[in-house]
Amino acid sequence: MIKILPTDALFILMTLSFIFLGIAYRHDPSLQRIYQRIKYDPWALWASLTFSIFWLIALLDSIHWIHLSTPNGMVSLLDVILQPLSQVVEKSYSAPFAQVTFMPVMQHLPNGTWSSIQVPLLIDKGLAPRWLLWFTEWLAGVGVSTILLAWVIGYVSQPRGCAWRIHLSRLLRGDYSLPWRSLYLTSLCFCMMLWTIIVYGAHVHIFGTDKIGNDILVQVIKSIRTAMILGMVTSLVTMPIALILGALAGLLGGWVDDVIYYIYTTLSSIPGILLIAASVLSLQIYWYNHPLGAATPMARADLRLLALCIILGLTSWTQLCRVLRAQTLKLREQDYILASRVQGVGTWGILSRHIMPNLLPILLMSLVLDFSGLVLAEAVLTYVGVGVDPLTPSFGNLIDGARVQMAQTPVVWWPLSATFMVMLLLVFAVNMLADSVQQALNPRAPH
Amino acid sequence: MTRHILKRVLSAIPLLVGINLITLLLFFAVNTPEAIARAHLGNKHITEEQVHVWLVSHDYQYPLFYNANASGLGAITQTLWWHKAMPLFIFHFGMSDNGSDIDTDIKTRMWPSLALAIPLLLIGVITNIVFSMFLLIFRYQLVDKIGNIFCVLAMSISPLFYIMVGQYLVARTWLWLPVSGYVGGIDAWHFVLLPVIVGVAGGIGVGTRWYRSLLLEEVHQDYVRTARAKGQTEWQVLWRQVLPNALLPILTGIVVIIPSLFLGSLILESFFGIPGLGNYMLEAIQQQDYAIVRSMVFLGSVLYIVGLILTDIAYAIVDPRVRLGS
Repeated sequence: MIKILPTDALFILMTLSFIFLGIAYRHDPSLQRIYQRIKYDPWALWASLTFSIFWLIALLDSIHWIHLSTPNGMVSLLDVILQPLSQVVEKSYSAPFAQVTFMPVMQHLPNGTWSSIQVPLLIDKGLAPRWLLWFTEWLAGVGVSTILLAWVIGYVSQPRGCAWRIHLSRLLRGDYSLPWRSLYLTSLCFCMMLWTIIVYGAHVHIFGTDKIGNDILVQVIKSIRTAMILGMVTSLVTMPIALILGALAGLLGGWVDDVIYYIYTTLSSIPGILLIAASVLSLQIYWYNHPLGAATPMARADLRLLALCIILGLTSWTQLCRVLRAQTLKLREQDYILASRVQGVGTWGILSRHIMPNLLPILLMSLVLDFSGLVLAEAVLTYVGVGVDPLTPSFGNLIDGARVQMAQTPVVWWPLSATFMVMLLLVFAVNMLADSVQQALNPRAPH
Repeated sequence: MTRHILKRVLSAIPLLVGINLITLLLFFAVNTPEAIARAHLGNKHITEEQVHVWLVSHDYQYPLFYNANASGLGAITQTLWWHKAMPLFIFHFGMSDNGSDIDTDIKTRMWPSLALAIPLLLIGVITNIVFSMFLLIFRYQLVDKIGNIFCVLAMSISPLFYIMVGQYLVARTWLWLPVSGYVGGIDAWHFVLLPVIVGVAGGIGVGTRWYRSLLLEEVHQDYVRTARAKGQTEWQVLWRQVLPNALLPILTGIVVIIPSLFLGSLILESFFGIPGLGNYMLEAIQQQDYAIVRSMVFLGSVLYIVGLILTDIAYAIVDPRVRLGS
């Protein structure tokens, strides 16, 4: 039976509405500029492809159904896909690609004595590693993907009537206006990652295991959903508040403007992290006194994630509101607004027909620009103790755990390294995307 | 000029009142003092009596705005508002929930915070400006583009990684500096050096891009072209023409945060065990100490507003149009 968590519903809703809006407004000039940018700029193409893959992972992880035999009481589509990686649970820490446990284990020897040795891991049933065979398998997979991708991209990009040999040399030199090379290399990298997981994931733990023997790779992949939801759902809270208040303040002026201006200056004077911490603390005490009935731990953790999104949204709309108000003030003086006023169009009509569509580029920009900051903020907030629930797989919880692991000898370095790599890939892609969107929408901005 | 400053200072009063109200509502209206007491006492089977004793000992036993049980002026003064919110205006923060005096805590803890925050700010700004100048010499060329990508990479890494990797390499593996701790006086540099390095490294990405965009706006001005036409080298143009003119936006960006330096850095101080105000706040959050968090929210906002006023004054001093206009 399908079980829809609140954040699932919001994330799926946002995905659908983005697809719908993207199609409905495909002729909008600012969206057109973004499409063009992604189409012609190699880095923008790389960033948007990478981001889409993270999005897809988060989406797969947002479709849950009830499954009572699991500890959480429910599984997601991603859990099922990752089943082969997560089903073998080791006894304790093990390093990436290791064959034996990281810590020596006391073992009873056949001659009756005890000895501390590193025992073989459970994942490959103690068989001898066959590195050459695995590498051959990997190479074969990657080789087939390389050729297949090259053929598909070469076929799609071939201009009508252009000879294959000329076409190939043009492709290699990057003579076409579309960044085919970027597309090829990006998809090839993802194929290589996929083959690594498929081939090696069956025999070793690619990113090692944690203290209780769970696969780190699975945890890192599961953390992506939390990061994506924080980045998207927070904007879902921020945008309507900032848009309505900013546009109203700019358009109406007078006492409405004064009140809204006062509210957002006051709120923005309070240091962000303190305001968030204070709000989360208040909520924690509220929940202590009003327990959430029969909710499962998973549902409670999800509710806490949603609450964090709402708190982050409620405390961070001021910056966007300021920008939107300033832009509305500028738009208000335009002739076409005066013309519609003269024709008797009401405030609401002017807002919906003239102001809102012109604020769309700013909204889009803030959506992408704020995203990476939110992902990074989650880690800090969770470390401070006002972030997501300890049960929610998230980058913050992984880093928080790594603090102890980095301090022990011998050092357990792989959980931090794995988190570092995946988080860097996500945030870097979003930052590059934000840069491209900014340049597409505001070509005069210095860059 | 005096008029301008006075106007700015007066305009801060409604802001402070608003912040005070927000903190009061956030801390005492969302949860009643009884709820806070129950969460602190921790036990599900506590009596009304115990709750009341806790409330009285922490001065929380009053209603929020109006005390109907008291007579005369008492109806207003015997309230949470009068006891908890009003003293903030004269920087009297009272007792924390575990009984220590917040005023003394702040006075002793702001020095370690400053010892970390001031070098961090100065070295950070200088490093970022030098880096951005370097990129600017090669603007729109390959070096600039690669540098930009490295900046984006650097700002895509969580500050927690810089701290943990820095601590692991410098303090644990190479044993150059202590992992954490603090002593007062001149020896403090021993403990402050690593957090400063880590903090500067963590800020390079954002900082370099920010200063580069500020400087780039100046590079296209007419006077720069004139200087170049008169035969100055690119390096001379940047240092003698562009930097002094870009100093105004750079300084205003710095002046805003100067008062907030007292608050220190939340995560740097906690990772490196520096007993500053940032660490103080973090401990308060983890112990759910309402009194301290409330005081720090107010103090932080006041310092930010002071920063804004200082920025305005600095602008008025440097740019005559500001004080003569309007």
